[in-house]
Amino acid sequence: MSPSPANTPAEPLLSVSAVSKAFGDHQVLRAVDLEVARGEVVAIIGASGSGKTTLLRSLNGLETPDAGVVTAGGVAVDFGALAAAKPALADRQRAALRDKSAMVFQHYHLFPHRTVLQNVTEGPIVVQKRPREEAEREAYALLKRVGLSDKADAYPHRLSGGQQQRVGIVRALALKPEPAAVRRAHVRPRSGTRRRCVAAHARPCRGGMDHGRGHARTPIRTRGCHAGGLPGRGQRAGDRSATRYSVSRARSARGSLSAGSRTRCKWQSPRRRRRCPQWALMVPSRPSARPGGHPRWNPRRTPDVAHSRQPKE
Amino acid sequence: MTIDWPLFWDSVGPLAAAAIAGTIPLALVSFALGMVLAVAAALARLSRNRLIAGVARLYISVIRGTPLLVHLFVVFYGLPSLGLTIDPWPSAIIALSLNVGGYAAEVVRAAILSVDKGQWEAAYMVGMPRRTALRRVILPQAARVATPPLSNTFISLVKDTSLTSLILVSEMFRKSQEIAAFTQEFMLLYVEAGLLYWVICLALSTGQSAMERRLDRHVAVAR
Ligand SMILES: Nc1ncnc2c1ncn2[C@@H]1O[C@H](COP(=O)(O)OP(=O)(O)OP(=O)(O)O)[C@@H](O)[C@H]1O
Ligand SMILES: [Mg+2]
Repeated sequence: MSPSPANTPAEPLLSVSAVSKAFGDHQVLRAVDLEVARGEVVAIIGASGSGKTTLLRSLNGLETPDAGVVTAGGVAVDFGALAAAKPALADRQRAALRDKSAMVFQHYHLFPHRTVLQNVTEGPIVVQKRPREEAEREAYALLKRVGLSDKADAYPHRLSGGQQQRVGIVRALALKPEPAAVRRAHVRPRSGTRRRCVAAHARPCRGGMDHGRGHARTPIRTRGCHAGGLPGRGQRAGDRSATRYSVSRARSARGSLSAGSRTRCKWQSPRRRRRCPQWALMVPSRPSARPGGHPRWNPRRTPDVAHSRQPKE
Repeated sequence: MTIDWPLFWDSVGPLAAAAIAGTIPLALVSFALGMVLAVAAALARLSRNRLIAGVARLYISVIRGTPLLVHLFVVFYGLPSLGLTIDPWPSAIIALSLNVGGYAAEVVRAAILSVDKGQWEAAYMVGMPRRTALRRVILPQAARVATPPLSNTFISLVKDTSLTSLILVSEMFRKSQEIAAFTQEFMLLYVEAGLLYWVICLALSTGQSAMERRLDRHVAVAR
């Protein structure tokens, strides 16, 4: 673990290097490399069972790869060394990585005993210790963006699948992670809702991941919602001129996800957008306005892994 | 055989008083302490630390493998020979709590294990450490699963308090023994005591249903 300096625009916000993971003798991830800079949206495409979820879970410390390093928002965790580390230290490192990301689960996993609002504010209030009014205000704003204001006091079992999914997205966004992982971001509600939904996870957060069929369009829509224009023919996907959010391919997508699968880390060109990426990673293009970090980032959570879970003196 | 109804009605008052002053508080206090022990033992059994898990396993095994009456006698009649003399009430509470703790620990452990793994992951994802995840996410959901079997444990406990009459605790059954010895109406008083236990347990079952409905309110349940 080597705490690297705070992000500079040049440095990738998220980097995965040589991450490998096997379940028994089934090698799922084989030395996967991936770098995502601010402003990039990355789609990872692959057959079912090829390891997309496994890779994502590794970014969140929910899966422990056998080897490789994941660096997110200045926190680097070397999973190869983690296996030998004491359990308490390993937990701390995983927790530090989690502080830098958020995800929406393939099956949402909302807290069934809490209302929609409480689901969203649980992290901000209980973990990040932010004032209740502020957390609730932001939660209401996010819920409004995804068209769920009237469901704030409902319990998850009363929501439709798509509504649960949107709550899952809002819960992840409310944490204000660095690269937010939003998976299976939307089913297909009315198109207006869908656009709002995309806008919601594009604007206030620092990134998002999307999982699901038919979302190759998501990054483009994101641009559309934001800047009112899809990239024209011949315009490079990474062209940022039209929008705050750029879309580009992962710079280095080496390694294979699963033996024999055709999984790629790849930006989907507009022409091929009917092909569905299974998830996409979005990182807003603007570097933080303040040198000290994102203005809303909780200062109590220091980026340095070694100190992040230790009580303040 | 004739039933001595005047004696029946005259003894209801003292027996009910003994239930309210003895049986019910004894059951409540022992259950509360027992649940603390049970949650601690369940978490210990789930701990990554082998030693802690082993101690919890031994505790549960000993409690479940030996009779409650033996525990009561060891604490009340046995410990004085080691120089430790404990009054009837505290002895009863110690033995009953240890007993509840051992039985309920397995219930609590199973309930914790029954909570979907995704709930742990969601809690970790929002940044909770293990302890907070347990307290805010896992235990509230485990409580729902554990309520029916724990109600069972509680009802058994209410009836088991009658054993403490043997270590001189003045609870309801001891009262009925005293009246029976005085009036020589054994059948009447023991049946009457049984009826009163039944009434208490009926009330508890009603309470259990209400609690289950309350805990089920946020989940879609097949009825
Ligand atoms: N805990 C586990 N134990 C054993 N094998 C696992 C485990 N989790 C995943 N796998 C295996 O790893 C492979 C990759 O799984 P993963 O969930 O990452 O696929 P995926 O790319 O997300 O698929 P999908 O598109 O269907 O969601 C699969 O073959 C799966 O069977
Ligand atoms: Mg998957």
